[in-house]
Amino acid sequence: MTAGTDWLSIGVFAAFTAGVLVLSSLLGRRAKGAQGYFAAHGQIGWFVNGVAFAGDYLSAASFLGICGLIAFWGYDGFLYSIGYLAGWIVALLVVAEPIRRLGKFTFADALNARFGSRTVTVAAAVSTLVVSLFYLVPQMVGAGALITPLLGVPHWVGVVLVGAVVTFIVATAGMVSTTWVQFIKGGLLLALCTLLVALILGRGFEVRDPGPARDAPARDVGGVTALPAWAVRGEGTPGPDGMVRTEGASTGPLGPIEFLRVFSASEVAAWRTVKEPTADGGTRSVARPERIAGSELLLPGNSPTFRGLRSGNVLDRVDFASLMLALFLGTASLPHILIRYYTVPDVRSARLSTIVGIGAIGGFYVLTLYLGLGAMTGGHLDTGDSNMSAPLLARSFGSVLFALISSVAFFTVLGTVSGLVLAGSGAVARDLVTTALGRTPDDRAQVRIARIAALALGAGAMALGFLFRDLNASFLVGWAFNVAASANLPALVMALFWRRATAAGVSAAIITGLASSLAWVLVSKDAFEKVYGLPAGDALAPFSQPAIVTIPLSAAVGVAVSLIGRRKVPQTPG
Amino acid sequence: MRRHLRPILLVAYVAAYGSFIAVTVAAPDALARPMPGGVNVAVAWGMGLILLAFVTAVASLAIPERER
Repeated sequence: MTAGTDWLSIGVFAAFTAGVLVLSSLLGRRAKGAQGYFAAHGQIGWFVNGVAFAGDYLSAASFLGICGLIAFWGYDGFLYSIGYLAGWIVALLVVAEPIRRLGKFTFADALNARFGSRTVTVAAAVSTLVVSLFYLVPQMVGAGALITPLLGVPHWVGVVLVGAVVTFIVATAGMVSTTWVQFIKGGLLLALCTLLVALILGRGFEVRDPGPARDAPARDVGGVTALPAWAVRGEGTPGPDGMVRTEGASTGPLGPIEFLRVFSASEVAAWRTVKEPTADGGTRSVARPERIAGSELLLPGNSPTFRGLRSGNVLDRVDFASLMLALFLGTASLPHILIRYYTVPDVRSARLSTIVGIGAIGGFYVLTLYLGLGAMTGGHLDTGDSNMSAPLLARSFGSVLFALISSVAFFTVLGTVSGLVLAGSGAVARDLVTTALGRTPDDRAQVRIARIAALALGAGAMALGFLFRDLNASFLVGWAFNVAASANLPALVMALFWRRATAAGVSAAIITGLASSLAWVLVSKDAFEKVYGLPAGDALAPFSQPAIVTIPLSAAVGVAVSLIGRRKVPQTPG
Repeated sequence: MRRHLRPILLVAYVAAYGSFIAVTVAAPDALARPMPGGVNVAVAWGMGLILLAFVTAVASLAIPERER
């Protein structure tokens, strides 16, 4: 990176960050009392709230993580796009309207509307904190990954910067500024990614020689190694297999369907990092190009996470089905998403804002396939950091776009982390402290406690960002969805729709889902291998994604406890 | 019909999503088959699920509101 590029990136980044801080300061004056701090006075319009849903939901995992997975492994990353969006159908058709009717400030409010139980409140608050912390980790990892190439500073600086700015946003103005930060971020992310995809389609594909294997991590790698003769415009001599391997042969601009068709018929250099023995008896990491048919990369089962789909191992397939179940049921269980329903004035606005959110989020996930494949074939991948694939793709179109995309990506992290910290601080101030004191503190005290909790959560998020810096953001979010779906969804469905549910049953469902999914994740193969650095064969859980076991377990325990300790409760208004 | 639209939409989407997962798990080779337009079943089905989510969302506007 040149010195000039550095200053441009720093300038754009500084302008974005300053804009966010000024906006928060100005909007902070609008938020009055607990209603303003936690729920923006319930006066956010449905369109703004819908785009803010996208800003809240399209996190570092969606932008950086999915693009990185597609860039290195093809279709496997797109499976996350499909699952993340599908979850919004559950949010729209199952939880949106009852949550808006029953809740006020926090996830526990809606869950506990029928019961008025301290146990439910504490269980829901603990679940909110755990899920929010789990979800915060990949955001902080993404922040650190972005800041290094953008500003040329260490990973930890990015983590600290996000933590500091978010704490300021949440502590100053709560939900009002968080909503507007997420709205602007959602709009900018969609606009810039659409521009980036238009540039990818305009560039088409060009044949490149991947060159030899090199020491890992290798930078500026990736590309198409052969194009079908029918797709090449201009010079290029086809071989006997009908493929053109002439360096520089290109397709020119392509339409969206044509892009996928040509990619499918091409041969691509996919870079894989392997350990090789050295002469002195040690090992070294080597990045090696593998020539793979594009059609192969547009099928599931290439990545280490989903490789089991092509094996005969039944447990690997169960693991995949379990992850897809978690993604489907997890969205409607995420506290930072659920509390956004309290910011609109009525049930109709809740539904309309979900529809706008689905349109914006769905549009973005369609773009991820093009962004990932564009990064894979653009020749600017870094084998040491899959999370940087999208910003590095932007750099291939010039330093201005790189600075803009990186700043928006950083903004992306800010928007999601703000929502998570707000959900967590609300759970502390409204649920835990109220239960501990045995009374509800006054408005000013609630906001003061929430601000202190935001500071503590921000510090916790920073510490976790350092600890898990080497893991893919989308992979980590998969675990958060497992925990959220297991702990919250069975309890939510019971509380909203089952007349015979009891407070004890709902609490038992949350505790069972939370404890079992957390325990499962911590003793899973992926945790042993990628977090502890231990042999995967020593893991205690038979597969890594627990949802397929822990969601039914949570529901079964909740139903059993409700039936055993049944008592009359009023029927839900839903 | 409008009263039952919510469960109908939910079941329809669950069927489309669930069958995608089932085919991916049980018969992944089926996803490699080409579709009209040149993309394979995997890409067409994935894009189709995203489009279906939006169609479902718009169709949900016809669901009567239980309370105002």
